[in-house]
Amino acid sequence: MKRICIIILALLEWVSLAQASIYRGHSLTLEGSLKNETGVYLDNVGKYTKIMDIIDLKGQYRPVDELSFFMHIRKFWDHAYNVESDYQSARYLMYTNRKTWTGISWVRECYLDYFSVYLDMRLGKQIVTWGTADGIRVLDQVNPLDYREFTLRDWNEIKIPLWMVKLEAAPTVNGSLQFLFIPDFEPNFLPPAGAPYAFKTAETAAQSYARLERLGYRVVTREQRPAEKVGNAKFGIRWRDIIGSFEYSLNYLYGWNMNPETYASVDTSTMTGPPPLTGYPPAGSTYIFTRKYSRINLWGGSFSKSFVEGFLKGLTIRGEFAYLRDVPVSYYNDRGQLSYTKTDQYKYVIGLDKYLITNWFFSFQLIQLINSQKDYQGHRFLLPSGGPMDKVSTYLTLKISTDFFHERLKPEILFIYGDDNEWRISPKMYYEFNDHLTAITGMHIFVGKESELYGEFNDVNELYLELRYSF
Amino acid sequence: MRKVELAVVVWILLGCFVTSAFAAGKCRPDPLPPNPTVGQIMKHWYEIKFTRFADDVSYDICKVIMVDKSGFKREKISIRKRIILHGKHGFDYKDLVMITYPEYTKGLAILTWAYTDINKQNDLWLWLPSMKKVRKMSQADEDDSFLGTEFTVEDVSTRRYGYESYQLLGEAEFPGYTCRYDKKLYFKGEPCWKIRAVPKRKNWYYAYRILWVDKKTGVEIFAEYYNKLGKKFKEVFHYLDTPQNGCWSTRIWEVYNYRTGHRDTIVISPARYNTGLRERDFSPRVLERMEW
Repeated sequence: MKRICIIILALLEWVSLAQASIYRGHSLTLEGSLKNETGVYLDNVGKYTKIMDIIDLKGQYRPVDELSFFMHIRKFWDHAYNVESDYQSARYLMYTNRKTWTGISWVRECYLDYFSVYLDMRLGKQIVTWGTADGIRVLDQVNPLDYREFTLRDWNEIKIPLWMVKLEAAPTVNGSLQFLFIPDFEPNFLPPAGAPYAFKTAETAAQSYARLERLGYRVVTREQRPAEKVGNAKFGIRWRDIIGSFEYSLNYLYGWNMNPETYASVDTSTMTGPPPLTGYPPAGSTYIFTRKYSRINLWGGSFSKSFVEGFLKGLTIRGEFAYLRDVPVSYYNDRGQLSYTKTDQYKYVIGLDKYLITNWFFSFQLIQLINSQKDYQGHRFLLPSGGPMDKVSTYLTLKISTDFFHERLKPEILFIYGDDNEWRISPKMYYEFNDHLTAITGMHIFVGKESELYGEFNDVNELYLELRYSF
Repeated sequence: MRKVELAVVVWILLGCFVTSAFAAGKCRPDPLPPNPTVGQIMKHWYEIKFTRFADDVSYDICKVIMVDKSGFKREKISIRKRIILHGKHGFDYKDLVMITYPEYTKGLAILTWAYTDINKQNDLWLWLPSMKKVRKMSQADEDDSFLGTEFTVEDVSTRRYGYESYQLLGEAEFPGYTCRYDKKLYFKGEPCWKIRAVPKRKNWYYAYRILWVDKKTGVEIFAEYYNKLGKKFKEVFHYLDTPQNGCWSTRIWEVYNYRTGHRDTIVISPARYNTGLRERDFSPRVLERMEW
């Protein structure tokens, strides 16, 4: 069914584009950009973190105001995976986006829009954003994320678009009810071992697999994705309204945990000899590591309010809260094996934004992530870094931005602080050479223990330059 | 069959009636009274500036051309729509601007709700293409640059009647303004009221403005900005199409800053008035329609 939808949409897009160039040139928009992103290690500028060439093409055909087709093609090649021998084990997954229609595909967005007074429809591969927080997911759990560069890229690039139906009904002037039906399943993309921003858990798993192979075992990894059927689809509902100038939303998502749980089993039918070590299965046996996904429920809400008069004039306060039920979390059991249990999680963000001095914008956020349990039978839950997860994790973020030379030069700096004394500091400078050529240069500096969320990348401090030509 | 035809005719007539009943907004201001006071002149100008005589207005192309001292040129193009709410629920107007050029800012959209109470800031929502989301924002400070130009946010969006105190200096013939964008000479010898406008804010970025208001139309055609030392540092020119019987339309705004040598021009396509925009076309839901 999904394939048929894809083919129909693609044909509609192609036919509409073809017709547009003949009959309705003014209804067609085609734009794009060429971009190079080069990054090096701050402490070893001879070693690349990335050498990405990216082609972006966006096309829209709007025959009438109410109807349009949109397609976004994005193809990238990261030549660091050709240059750096350390990255070879990750090259297949990281060098380019090979897929066409699903996951991290070069057809990034492809959808049909229909707008009317009371109902908007968007059908196809798309991104949906919920919530008001910047740089962190609390409520915004609809699309999976591409963690190839952790969370350092713009969020529209980190998100993996999904095939879905989005309906938005507007029964009141400012109130709208959004309904999402998402038959497409895609997990978060976690960079494989060998990539600069691979999580330590991926590195540890790769080391374990290599060790098992050295001991004479076969290692097979499998992914057990939810079957493509209606019962496995994701559903989401959002009500949003504005009372006075207080905007709020109430959200519910019946979705999937987008990080896999990996379960190990042993098939001894392939055995070739006695166990190489005491307590181990016979040599030649097959270790099967199966990645599975669990359902989760999310309830939450968000709000934002700008104070337009009085003492707090100019201040915007925003926030969001999410309660996630039955989220799988990992821990090491008594035998040191990776195991899973489920826990409830509460997450919230409070943000304050204000222009303090003319065009100096300050944006502050307090973020707390709370597990309903601290551990499972005394075993601490694990972060992606493999380190122990606190029951309550607190993060503070501060972003300061401004502009100079008639907005040609735009510096900004982002600080993220974690309560286990970990930091991410990301200064960057944007410059417009002309209407077509822009550049960004910046750094990402990570400070903290390797076992922490940001600290685990303290060996990947990066200096980067991006050049973009748009047309 | 005849019944069907009759029903169609009635439906069409009813449609015409309903359309005409709701398209009652005007596309030009009422004339100024004879011998107006300075307050009436300035109120009239702000009626024109914010098209308060209409129910809604759309501009298909607003082109911002920025030229620095060396002649280096940049452009930004946007589409703009505004609904005038005439004080309904305390709103003056709601406004939607969508950037269409250059490509790297294309898709940025700004939804503004302006209140009739001039002490209230505007409520703002942005569609941020880099985040693919709607974000509530604080209004930028009013002395901040508008889209990187020499216009301030106040010049373009927020300055309304009551922001300044006004003094009629007299009547004079306007010496003429040669537009740096199209090199044409505008309004030479046009009879004008000369008005001194002093901001009510203390320590504001200008000490006072000298305004030239066309006596024939009531349009503020020229504004000179002075600092505390009485030195002119900026000038703003407004050109509107003001046909005797047709619709009025803002066509050119130009600013020149003597300190920076920077010149910016906003060139606007003819306005389309009273097209039946609804208030619900100015909610954050509409921002989420953005594809870019």
